[in-house]
Amino acid sequence: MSRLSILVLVGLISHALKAQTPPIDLEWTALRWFGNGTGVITHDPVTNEHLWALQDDINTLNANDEVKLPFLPDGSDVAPAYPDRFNVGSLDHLVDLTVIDSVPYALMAHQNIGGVVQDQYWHLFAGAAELIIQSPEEDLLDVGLDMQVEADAIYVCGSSMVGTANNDRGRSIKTDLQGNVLWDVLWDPVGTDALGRFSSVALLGDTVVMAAFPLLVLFDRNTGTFIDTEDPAALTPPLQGDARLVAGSDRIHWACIQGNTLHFGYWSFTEGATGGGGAFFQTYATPPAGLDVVLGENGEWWIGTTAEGQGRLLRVGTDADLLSTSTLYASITDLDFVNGKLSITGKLDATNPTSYVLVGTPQP
Amino acid sequence: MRTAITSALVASLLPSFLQGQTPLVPVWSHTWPYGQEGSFNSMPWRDNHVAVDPITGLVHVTVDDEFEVASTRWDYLFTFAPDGIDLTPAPPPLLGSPAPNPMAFPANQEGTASLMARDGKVFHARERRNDTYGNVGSVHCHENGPRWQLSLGRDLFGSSDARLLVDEHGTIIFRRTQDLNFGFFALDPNGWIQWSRNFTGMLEFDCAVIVSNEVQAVREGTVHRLDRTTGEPLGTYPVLANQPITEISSNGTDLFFCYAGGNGSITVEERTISGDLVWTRTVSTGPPDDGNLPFDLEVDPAGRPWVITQLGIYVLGSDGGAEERFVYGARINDVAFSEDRAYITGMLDNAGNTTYLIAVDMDLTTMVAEQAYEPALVLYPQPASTTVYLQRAGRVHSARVLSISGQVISTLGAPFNRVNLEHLPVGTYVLELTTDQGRSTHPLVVAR
Repeated sequence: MSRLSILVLVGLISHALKAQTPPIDLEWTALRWFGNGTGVITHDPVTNEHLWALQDDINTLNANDEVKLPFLPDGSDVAPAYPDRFNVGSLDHLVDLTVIDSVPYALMAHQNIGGVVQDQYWHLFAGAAELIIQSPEEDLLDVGLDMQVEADAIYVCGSSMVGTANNDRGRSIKTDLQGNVLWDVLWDPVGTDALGRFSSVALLGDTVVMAAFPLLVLFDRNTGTFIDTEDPAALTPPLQGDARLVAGSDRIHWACIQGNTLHFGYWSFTEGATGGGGAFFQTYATPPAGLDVVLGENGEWWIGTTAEGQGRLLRVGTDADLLSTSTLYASITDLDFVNGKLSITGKLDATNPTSYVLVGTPQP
Repeated sequence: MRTAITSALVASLLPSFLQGQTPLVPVWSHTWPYGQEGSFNSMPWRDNHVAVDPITGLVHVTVDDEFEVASTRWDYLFTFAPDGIDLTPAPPPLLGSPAPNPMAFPANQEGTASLMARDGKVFHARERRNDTYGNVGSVHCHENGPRWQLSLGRDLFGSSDARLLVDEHGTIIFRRTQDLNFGFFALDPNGWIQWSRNFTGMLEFDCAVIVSNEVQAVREGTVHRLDRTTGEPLGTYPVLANQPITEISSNGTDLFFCYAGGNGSITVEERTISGDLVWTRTVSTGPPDDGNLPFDLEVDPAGRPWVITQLGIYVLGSDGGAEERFVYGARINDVAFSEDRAYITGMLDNAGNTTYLIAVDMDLTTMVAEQAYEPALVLYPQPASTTVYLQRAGRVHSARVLSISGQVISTLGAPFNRVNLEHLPVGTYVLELTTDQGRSTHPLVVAR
């Protein structure tokens, strides 16, 4: 290949990857003047409503400071002044939300400021049922980080403290849809490069996959029995950080932030690890913050984060090939993909707590 | 549903009391036997708007479906070619959102707050009454059907209408946001938010305009300048204090401000983009309660400001000089321009049961520019240091020097042919004259 050809090719690649408006036909956007980047967007597959949850940190509506705002598929604001409200205490916040046939499944964090030790713990709401998750030894810190609701069960993950030194453990719990515990496991990272927490959970057949980067930690779906660990990035030094996972048909797609760099790739039982290094990362001038990954259509997947004061949306192909990078004026904190449409939520700008959610159809 | 009526018929509707003023004679017109029930926030012009697409030349009109004959979506969008041919699909596009919760959204408590069009896209801002929870606002883009929409949430006070500005870069939306804040949002033509700017405080922005690469917006006698591209603040300048500014408009380079006086008068000013006064003019209208309050100001392609009241339109010369009042014998709700025509919409009757749209050739109004404009006043020298001389045809009844904030600094005595400036600090002042033609104000610059 001639030097000119190489230059032309590089130019084309640079153009293709140039930051730009997302390759999405935008259909609707909603704004609220609170939330401060706490938004979670989900979709009820039965009612076909989009549910946008926000922390009403200016208490415009009620002392119950979490609100769940429903939108019709065309963006009609169904109940702008009559949203569902919920909370579990003064220092609570919503971690993750799924709604099926109007039944909410919510993972929330809570800090008990009234205790001698300001204990932190999880709350899992399965409809009307509530499961409080604390460490085996009380008054220690427990943090819920992710939830996956399947047809027959709920999988949540996070961390629990079990002692006073090197005491963080990855924790994963499976419950039925009524919040009854089916199994509850702790995983000790000692001897590995992993942090002591499961930052994300995904399901691959009969295997529950937890992210404790640089490792994936595998458990049996039915029993919670530890199976093995995998290194999906295979980088040296190891890739440590709170990764996000999403399951494809036979792959676990992942993204992880380390320093100023966003790494991504996939792992499967048959193919092993792909990604992390090589062309499978994006580096920014400032450390990215917030991270989510969703599976799109035709094997594509989407990564959202915030860097250099802008939302960053990555469109990734089947083989973790980077198809496009885009910027948003706003930050990105959560993604959802349903019925061929991508939903994005975050904080509108850095100077005030305004939150946004938008929904659009990816262009071919 | 719709009927076309002839110009002759329209002319015959002109009531006799309007004789002596220039009637607007349409080159084409349409009417609809419905339009506005007038119950929503008592704003008769809420639903009925007209906009001209400067690229396609198409004329778009929103009309309230007060009987909800088509659905619970509440407004129609009609489209006309410049020659009056009705291009509206059958059935016409419906605007507004269905009411999924009748408890939350009383029937027909929703309307079009603003309408704009550009390059095949029609943008409309909507407000929905939401019981005791104020208004719920949204902005929608149509392009051969719904294209995108933006939900703005509620304004608890229900006092703010979302307003739109449109140019080749997209849309500027401004509205009360959180109950105590006010927001400006810039969207590209595809609906992506480019920037936002939040202002705290109870006070609302009365109006805003895009001029050059700026958005200029007025609140409480102060004009706030924002960079059109980034939303960054560029500073402020004061305008006439103690008078609410009804509207602001632009000829592309300068700004025009319209104030409603409480005594049945309207003051119009032209200012440069940095706020320097070019001219000011006060026009006597009539009792405010009789529909003479101005609610809109538009600048036509010839650079002439049009002040719109419900009863008539006052067209001034581009230099603030000549003036003519045009009437149609019906309530006026909105005006928009193409290069050669003005399109006017409103209600033919007070009950609001018949909506009209008329197209008027600009030729009708060229008399305003062609009138021999006798300079109202020559002030010389300008700037002045100790004395400025007045030369004016006609009788002057009284004269005062005001600060630019409207405070009276001195009252002149007859024969009103000079102003002593020795006691005035360097700066810009306003000379107010009362003559047989009414009150007028003129910039007075003191420099040493």
